[in-house]
Amino acid sequence: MSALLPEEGVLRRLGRLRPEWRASVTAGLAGTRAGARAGTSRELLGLKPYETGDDLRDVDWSATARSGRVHVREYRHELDASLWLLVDASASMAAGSPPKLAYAAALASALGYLALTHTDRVGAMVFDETITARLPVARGHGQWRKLRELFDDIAAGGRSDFGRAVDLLLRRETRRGLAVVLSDFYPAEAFVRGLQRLAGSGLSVVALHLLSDEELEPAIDGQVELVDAETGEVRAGWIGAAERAHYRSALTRLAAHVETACSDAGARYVRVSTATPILRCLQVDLVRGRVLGRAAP
Amino acid sequence: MITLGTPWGLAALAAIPVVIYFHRRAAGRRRTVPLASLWSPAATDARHARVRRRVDAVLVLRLLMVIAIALGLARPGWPTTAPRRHVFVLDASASMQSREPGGTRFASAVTAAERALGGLPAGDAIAIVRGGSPATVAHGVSIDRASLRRVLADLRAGESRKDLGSALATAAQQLAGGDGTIHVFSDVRETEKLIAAASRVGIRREAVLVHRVGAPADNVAIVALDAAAVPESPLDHEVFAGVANFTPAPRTVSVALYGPDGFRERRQVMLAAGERGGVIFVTGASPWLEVYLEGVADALPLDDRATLVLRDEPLRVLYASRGDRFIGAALHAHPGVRVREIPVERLDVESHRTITEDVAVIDGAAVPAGLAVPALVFAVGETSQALRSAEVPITEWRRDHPLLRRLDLSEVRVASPAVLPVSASDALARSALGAVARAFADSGVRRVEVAFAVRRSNLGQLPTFPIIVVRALDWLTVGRGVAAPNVRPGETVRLVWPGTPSGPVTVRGPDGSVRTATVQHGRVQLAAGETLGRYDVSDGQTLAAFAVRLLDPEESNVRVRATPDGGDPALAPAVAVEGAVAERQVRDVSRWPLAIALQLLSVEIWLLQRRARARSS
Repeated sequence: MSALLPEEGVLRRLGRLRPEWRASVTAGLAGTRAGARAGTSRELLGLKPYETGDDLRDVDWSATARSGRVHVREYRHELDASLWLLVDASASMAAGSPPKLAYAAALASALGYLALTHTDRVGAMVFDETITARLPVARGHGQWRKLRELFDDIAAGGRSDFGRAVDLLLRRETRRGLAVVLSDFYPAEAFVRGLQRLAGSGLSVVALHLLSDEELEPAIDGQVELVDAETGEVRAGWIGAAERAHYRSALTRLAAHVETACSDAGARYVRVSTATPILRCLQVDLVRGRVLGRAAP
Repeated sequence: MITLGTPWGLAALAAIPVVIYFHRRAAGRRRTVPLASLWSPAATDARHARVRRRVDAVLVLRLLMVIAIALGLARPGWPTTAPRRHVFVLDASASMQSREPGGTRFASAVTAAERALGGLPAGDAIAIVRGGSPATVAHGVSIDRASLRRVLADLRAGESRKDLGSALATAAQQLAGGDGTIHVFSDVRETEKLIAAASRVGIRREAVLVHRVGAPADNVAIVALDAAAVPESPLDHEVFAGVANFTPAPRTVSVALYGPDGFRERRQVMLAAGERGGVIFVTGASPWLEVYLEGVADALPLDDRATLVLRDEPLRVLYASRGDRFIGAALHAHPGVRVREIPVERLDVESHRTITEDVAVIDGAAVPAGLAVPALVFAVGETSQALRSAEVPITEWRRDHPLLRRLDLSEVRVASPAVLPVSASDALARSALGAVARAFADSGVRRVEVAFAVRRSNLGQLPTFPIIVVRALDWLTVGRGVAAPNVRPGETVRLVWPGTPSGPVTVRGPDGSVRTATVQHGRVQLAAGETLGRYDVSDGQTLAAFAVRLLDPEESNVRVRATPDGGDPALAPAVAVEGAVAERQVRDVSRWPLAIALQLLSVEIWLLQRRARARSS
């Protein structure tokens, strides 16, 4: 990952870029913007008489003494936003040069850095059949170090079970925010269902579809036995120009299916070639896909 | 019919299964893909069958390459239809006369040659070289088999040492620079040396075919014979005969000495297996002597005798005299010395001429510059003061020096303070005053210097003086010896002719053969024959002689014989053939399959590149 991930100094120069929430989700909720209702931030909104359920730590003893009635302090409700990075580490992600998983890890680290720069919370989850690694959301520079350590230790293997990852995320995390899924979306149907569930839960969802050049233009010819990286399924036969054309068509259909599903679910879809440098992907591809936006100076 | 020079090269065909395995593994490869369901590989149809044929064409090309390389390594060839030239070299050295159960080794060689002759194609031309000293062409290049067989039958072995190098050079001339084969029929022990000798005369290793003959045999031989004068008795000689036992068992042999007057002496010598020893006879001077091994039944009789001709021309001495009667008497007392006496004052005049004497004796004069002959010089350090000095004795002398060995000089008194300016270590004799004699070599020319005049001492009156003079002459003319000229077969003989300075002479060999030679400027020069023994040279009035001897341990040792496979020499076959048999009549075409393999490689590269271009497009 270190070879793909730009230096921190380079990422720092991209500081104006920040993850962009979708309009429907971000109204009044983005980052450090304050909400209209009371909340748990330290910005004092006012005082109110104590009601059952109020936190005793919020009792304003001065006002209570003056009025002779228990008053509690009301604070401005700060709408926290979290960035969840969901990285597919199934066996199919080992394909390509560089491997799609390494590219995904580097891209996720870079996205995490940009979010942490803008004091967003960042968490990560790496999954295949199980949740192989998880980093709870947090903010600060230490979180970025943990994020890199997390992605340094991952390896591709097993089959994808995106539904399990969605289950865990929705069960453990109630905050709203942005979920970025980095995967090759094999098999597509399982991912589509998961993406729809994520989007339906109120999270802003971005699907980054990683494809390597070897997948886009495979150099397979002649008599071969094709072995599925995840299922072990074997397809033997002759591969020629027609078969390669058929493959490219199938791949295009799969990508279109994922894109359509994302669109229907209100998620954003960006296709990323692993041959694209991470920096260019951040500055061009993800900005065009409105995954990253330019913050006001 | 195709022949293979190195059939083991076909072992490269074992690479065929390996090539097929790797080819199939590359062709039928397994590829892991992210999602196999995206692929729909086609079953083999006509279009794919064409592709399969193309792929199989690559396999065929590769297999053809392996076959071509294997064939090239095996060095294929086929018999040439053009007649070839052969030269038969029959070793006629002395060892080929070794007796074996079936005859001599030379007879075996002739038989092998006849057999080889019969096996050659009718159109091939053959020449026959007799490998004697010198090597001779017994039969020029011919296809007349009958004539060749007659010459083979008439060939006889000589008595010379082995010289196959000159025989190979003669054989190479018969090939006339063309392609051909040289068949060597010999008992040569070290084939590699023979091959090296062939290489030196420009013969390829492959062109030499060695037919080795002979089985190991026992032999006892005379391997050395020489003589030296007895200093104390100039009319007597010490004769040394060296004997070698080339048998695996100890042997006791009788060595008998014969002279012109018949038997003189017999001695016995015991020799362990492989040992060399010798006997010394002291006998009267004689023009020639012969030594025989008696009672020895061995494989090679010709080295059981040897002849020694003794030098009969006198030692020529130039005596530059002051009239010293002791020196003159000592010189004339030696029977082998011819003295030309001149006044010492004329020495400077004489030295400017070419002095023909063997040695100079100078009394009371400095050695002239440029004197090229050894010299015995008296009164080197004498001065006018010496005439007035008292006598002093000689106190030290080199008892280990050949001049003074076993002599007593303690009675010598020198009435002279004359000394030589040399260190004590270089002095031959010293008095209390210093060195009085020395022996040294100046630019390779020996010289003996005595500081005082003989007449100014009592040295001339002592019995040791003639002995010292004789020993000095012997030491000064070392290498001349008393035995000469004795040569080996084929060597050049140079005789100082004591008779008329020019004219014809006849040379009679030990076998009674007579040939003529010519005397020029008082010398006779001729090539020694192959027959061992004494040769008499005569012009009708003057008689001289020389001897031809073998005296060659290498030639006489007919037991040790390396076998081609390093096995027991005793088990070596009577006739073994070594050499490039395959190349004998085969045209080597091994380069052709290798060239074809290269072409196939080019085609394969072209096919694969074309295939890669098609795939990328």
